[in-house]
Amino acid sequence: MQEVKEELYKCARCQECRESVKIVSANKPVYLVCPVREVLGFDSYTGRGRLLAIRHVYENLLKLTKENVHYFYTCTLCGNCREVCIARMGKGVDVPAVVEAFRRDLYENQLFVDGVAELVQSVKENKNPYLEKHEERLSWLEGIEAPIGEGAEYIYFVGCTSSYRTQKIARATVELFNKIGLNYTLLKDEWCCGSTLLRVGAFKEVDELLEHNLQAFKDVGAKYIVTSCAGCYRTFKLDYPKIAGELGVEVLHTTELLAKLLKEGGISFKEIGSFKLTYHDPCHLGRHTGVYDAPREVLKAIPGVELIEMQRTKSYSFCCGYGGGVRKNDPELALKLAKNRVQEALQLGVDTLVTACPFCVRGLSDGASELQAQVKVLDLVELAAQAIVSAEKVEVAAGELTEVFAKYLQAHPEIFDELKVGSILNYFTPDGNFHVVKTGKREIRVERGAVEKPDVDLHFTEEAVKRLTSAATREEYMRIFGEETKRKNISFKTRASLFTLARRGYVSWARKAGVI
Amino acid sequence: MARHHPLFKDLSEIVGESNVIDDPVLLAAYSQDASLLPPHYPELVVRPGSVEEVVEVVKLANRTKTPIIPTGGRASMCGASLPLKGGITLDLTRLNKVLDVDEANLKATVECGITWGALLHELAKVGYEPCFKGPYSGHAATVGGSISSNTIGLGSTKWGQAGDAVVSLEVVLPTGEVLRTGTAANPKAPPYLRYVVGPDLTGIFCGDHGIFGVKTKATIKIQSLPKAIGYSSFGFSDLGSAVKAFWEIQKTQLAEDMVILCDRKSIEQILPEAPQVFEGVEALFVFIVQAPDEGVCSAIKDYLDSLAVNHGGRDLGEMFPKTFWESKYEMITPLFEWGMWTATCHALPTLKIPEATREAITLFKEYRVDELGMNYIATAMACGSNAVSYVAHTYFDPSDPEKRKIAEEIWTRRKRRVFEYGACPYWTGVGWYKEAVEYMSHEWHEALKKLKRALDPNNVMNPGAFEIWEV
Repeated sequence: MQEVKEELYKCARCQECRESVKIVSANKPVYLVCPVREVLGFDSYTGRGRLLAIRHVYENLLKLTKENVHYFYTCTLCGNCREVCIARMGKGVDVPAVVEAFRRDLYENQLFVDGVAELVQSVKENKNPYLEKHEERLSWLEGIEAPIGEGAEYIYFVGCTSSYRTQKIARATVELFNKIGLNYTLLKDEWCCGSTLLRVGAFKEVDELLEHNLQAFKDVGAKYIVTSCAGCYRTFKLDYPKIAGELGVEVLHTTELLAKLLKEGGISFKEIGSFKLTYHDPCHLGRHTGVYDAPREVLKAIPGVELIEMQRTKSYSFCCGYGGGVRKNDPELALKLAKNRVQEALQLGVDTLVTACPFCVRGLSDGASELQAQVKVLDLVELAAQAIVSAEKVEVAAGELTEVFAKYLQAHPEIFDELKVGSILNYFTPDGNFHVVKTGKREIRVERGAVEKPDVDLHFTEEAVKRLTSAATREEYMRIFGEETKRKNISFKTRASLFTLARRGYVSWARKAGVI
Repeated sequence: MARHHPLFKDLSEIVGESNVIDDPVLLAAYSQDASLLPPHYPELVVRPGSVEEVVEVVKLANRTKTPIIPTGGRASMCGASLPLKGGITLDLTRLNKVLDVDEANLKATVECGITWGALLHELAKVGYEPCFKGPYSGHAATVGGSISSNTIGLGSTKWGQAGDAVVSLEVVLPTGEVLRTGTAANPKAPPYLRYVVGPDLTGIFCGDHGIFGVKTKATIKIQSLPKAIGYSSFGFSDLGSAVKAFWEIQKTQLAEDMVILCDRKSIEQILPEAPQVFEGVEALFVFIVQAPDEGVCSAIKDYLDSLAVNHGGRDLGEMFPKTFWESKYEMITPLFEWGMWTATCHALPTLKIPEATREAITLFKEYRVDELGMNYIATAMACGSNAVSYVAHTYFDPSDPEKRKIAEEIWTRRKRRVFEYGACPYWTGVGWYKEAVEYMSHEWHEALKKLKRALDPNNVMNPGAFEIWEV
């Protein structure tokens, strides 16, 4: 706990993590925060409630016994409370890290629930948490051709859930890779990545798994590990490097690989039917590791797909309930959470609910079936595997004004001199949008599309863009910027808090532009 | 099998077992608020889902003489919703619906457990917003909690305090009767006006910190969503000129909201670039204008801007006020990066801001807070045409005993000085009750006790609040 103790005492106890609705008040798609609190009702289940209880344990105000520790395993570690939290100048308090560290202390003090013991035992004996035989790990492959244990550029890491529970995801992933001719292999002897153990606090049991898997990666000599499991992805991306340092291979989620190939023109999709669908962001893929755009880019590239977003989407997505050990330790609660998420999707009138994680597929499928809902629950790879066709380069036309503006800014990074590295600005013109990221002292990156969490959104009329892009110097650009703002040809919406903006140099920047 | 509290079964029969907790591990969440005060554990927490359930829970508490405290957001900065004598904490956040939007009378009737963030969201769907828009903690704070603590917050410049926006209340009295105030006291009339047939019973429950009953419904003033919003901010070379300009604008009652930063250090702490960008600015304020169209908005903004300029104000543009107004309720919590606070927000006549600021900063200097690396803030938000909620407090790292001691000493002295220099807190709590009762007149406290005795003969509702331990 020592490493996260600071987090524990940084909570302002403001209750922002309880039931915030920020859609109108703060222009953020936040509609309630904690999926567990929304089912169980009491503040005890919010981020603040959990931090208080944990604090009181350490301050000897609460005594724990085997009988009352169940509560500490009712958090899915989804991280929405951390996302919504605005304490620490907007950085937020890392509640999932505290809960996970506390579970580690519980584990080391032998004060855990029965489900944890069973899970640890199974992983130790079977290299998976499902009490399934290790030698049957590849049983899902029956009747499918796939390279195993060969040298390859990509390793497909299947994960325990797709190996034993949602095997259709493993099959679809292999089918997909075969169709696009990916140079990949399965591991000869894949072991659990350790995610489930880490989530329930059994940290010390993970080392053996990690060592085995890292050796297996090395033996293949691959450049990339690709997985369709959000849990494995998070573990390789965040946990393994924390424990063992750099992995020496790049970790990709299947959705990222597909988005990358799409961008490079390496793949395209055919129409396989018409789908009115919504996408559920898995917590481990979205909030934990920041992959929001890739799955959406893939879905939008499939002809016949109409993607409708749920109200709680991307970084404020609501958890399906099947993560963080809750499915194991409180299946009834997990199912209630899953049903709530399915109901949210159903409100959109969709026929398909797509996600990109075997845990979420299980949760949402169970939820839909419990509700007897007329909605198909699919993993994105299932859809992609059916729709994929051989490569055909497709050029996406971007608006001329947007292109000109983006190129101009890329050539003039000095315009952003006052801003600190990491500043992000969305630019909207009448024919498109792009965003600028400050990457170095006088370096910027300009990329297509608007990002979800910029510091500021800037909107320009055609006239403003034309005048700005004619400026020969930074001074002239800033002067025109001020003039056009006064003429209301430029407007802005601040998306970060005043404290964040002030700490990223925007006040000086606005002053230079004559806006202050 | 865990042993339950003796009232667990009876309460479960009223609200359902899933809406009662008595396990200390779960109760911890209800033992502290957003202040440095030590924990007070309730014995049980109950979440009623209807006024009928509230009635039954209150009757049970009365029958068994069990303390009961109604709570909303529970983010008080002073222990307003801590169960001082244990008993039942009533978590009212299940009562969170907008029941009626009366467009003809520009009123909305809501359940008191709704948060301000949710209320803004629900009303916007039908083209309205509440006139008073809640405290800076409005994503957590509830309508009932704000009314119970006399909140000054967003929209207070034009609309006053939380209670000023209330037309009618539904209150479950400590003995279980359900009282409706204002026109709604006539069972045939809707709630549309507050002051009718005799004295203002609504007012008794405004600022009562839950000692006179449980607010279950409130009818509040609403207005159409603005079609145009104007944002202004001005910097001044001295606080005196800034306050004069602030007051000139405030008294027109044309601005929806106004906030002032009262000294250079407060400006620099919030805006670290201030030394370069705001040379010579010792105080600054922002104001917001809301109007039904662009023309009206610009005319008002231009006029109010001219008042600021007349007092030497330097136009600082719309970035700060716009960011402030577009991220409502997110302006205070980020400052916890500096540590915990020792808040003494109080109602102060606007023109006394310079004097209050001098006094606060002198005290901070006496304790060498700068040298100790402790931050402070001196700021005020306008309330009505003449007053402000004045805020000057330090922040401290709660794990540093030396700084904690200093912060507590400053807090103790500030709590007294507020009364001594002729001001009054508007919210309070166990952290401020003692001083409040000491400084407010004997007659005031006696009258409060008489009312308490009449309405709550067993003193079950939030006992200990305002130092009323016995009746």
